Amino acid sequence: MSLDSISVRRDFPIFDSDFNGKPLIYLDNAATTQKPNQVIDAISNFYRTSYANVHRSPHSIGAAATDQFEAGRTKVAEFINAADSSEVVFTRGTSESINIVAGILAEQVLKPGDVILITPSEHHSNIVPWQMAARRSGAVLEYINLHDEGIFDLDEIARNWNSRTKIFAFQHASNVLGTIHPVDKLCRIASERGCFSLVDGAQSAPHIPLDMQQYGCDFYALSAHKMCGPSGIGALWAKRELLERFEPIFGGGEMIRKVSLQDAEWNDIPYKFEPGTPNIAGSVGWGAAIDYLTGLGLDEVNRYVEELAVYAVEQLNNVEGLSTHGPRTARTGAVSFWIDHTHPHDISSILDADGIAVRSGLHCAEPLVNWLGLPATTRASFYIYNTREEVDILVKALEMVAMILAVPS
Amino acid sequence: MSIADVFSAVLLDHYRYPRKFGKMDNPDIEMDGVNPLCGDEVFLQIKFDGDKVTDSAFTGKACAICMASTSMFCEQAPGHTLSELEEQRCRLFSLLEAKELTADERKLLGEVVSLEGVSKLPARVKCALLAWETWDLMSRQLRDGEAGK
Repeated sequence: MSLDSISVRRDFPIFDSDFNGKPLIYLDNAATTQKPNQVIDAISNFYRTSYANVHRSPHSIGAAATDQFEAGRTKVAEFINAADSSEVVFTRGTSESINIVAGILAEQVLKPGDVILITPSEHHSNIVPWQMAARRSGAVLEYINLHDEGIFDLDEIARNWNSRTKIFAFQHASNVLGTIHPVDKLCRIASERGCFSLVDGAQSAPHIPLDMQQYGCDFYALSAHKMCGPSGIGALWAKRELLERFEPIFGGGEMIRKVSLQDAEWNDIPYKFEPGTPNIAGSVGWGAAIDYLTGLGLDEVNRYVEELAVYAVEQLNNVEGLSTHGPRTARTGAVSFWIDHTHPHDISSILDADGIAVRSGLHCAEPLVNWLGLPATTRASFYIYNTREEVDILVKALEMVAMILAVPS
Repeated sequence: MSIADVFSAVLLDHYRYPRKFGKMDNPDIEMDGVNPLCGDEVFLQIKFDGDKVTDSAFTGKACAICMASTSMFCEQAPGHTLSELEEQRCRLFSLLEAKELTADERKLLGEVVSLEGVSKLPARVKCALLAWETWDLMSRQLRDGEAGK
């Protein structure tokens, strides 16, 4: 059964509104996805019928809220095939998840001269926390090399391995190029050398069926808002023994079992990493998003978005002076491109007037855009509600852009 | 909003055929202007006689709006004093804030009026301002007597 984007589209009320007097063609899904009625209604109904603070509440409504909040966690655990839902720590999103790991390692693992290994194609949220961790701990930040289409060379990584490397952090999929990396093999390189691995799953979670029990990574970070869920909630998955071994770096309510004047005893995992009132409705909404995507079929979602992106890459490359970056096939929905003599900001402004929302700039991946040798790129990123007709409209609009901004040679 | 409102014929002409584009020998002051968020970069060079600009030039890589605005600045600057250019910069600010301008003010803006449509794109206002804000920093340096050969 293949995914029916027209019926999917009816679930998303944002498409009932016009923008700049035109029907919305939303192609900024790598930044964030739109929300279906199922998610909006789940959050709204939760606030209407069951909202209270979670855990410790002595009343029935608190128990109802806790049940729904924890049901969201269970759905996330199943979605990523975690061995147990206690391995899922709720955070504000991928960035916070990575910051927590970087903070823990800087404080509890890294020594001066140790190596933090990352890649030049990371989102800033998987670069800056490691720069901060390096500064705090005296560790050294090193980068692997990138190859065509942003691919990592596994043999080269293994060959150049520095024995002082304590953490290897990398993306599952590129938010600029759409490249999907072989997570299990990369994690094996790290684990065989006694090194922690962290995977930034922000771009993969919306596209690829995930499997924590198969990847062999130590930490995996993801966000709800890029997969039809609400913004402001995400998760850090980590192996049980690591969550148990490491000390929390943020304190507060909920994360403790006992507090005296001078000391505190931590709560069980995952709660010891979740101080304060969590994003309760966020968990409910994320759970609804997971139900929604699972209902469509994760394999169907993956296949539909990939086929649409492959079609877009083919069509876009027919535009005079346009070249796309990243792989032509086996990719996510993020398609970046460059048009000769045409600045991406001008492209996005002109497309915006046609109701087409794309992103232009550095995509929070400045080192990668520098690696491409460009001042910026334009990115169209596709998801389940986008159609081939929208790709065709984008291509026509870009032909117009290229004409408007043509520079005589 | 239509695209022709923003990318007017005058703006596109300055973008396609930027005036005063190139490097100048022996400028009295020069400065690099950068919009770190979008990567626009223009390098301005100015010559003076007293407090009057006698010549200007620029190089750089930027979007159409930024290139056109910089071209207009460099074309207009020669023959004007620091304070006259400061007044022009303030008029451009008002234009980009979509404030009502008098007929005289619009006349004084000259071709810079063609940047008016950028006021409809709040994210792009900084592109239209880059050269003028770089010039503002240069003129402050001159006033403070820190610049010069």
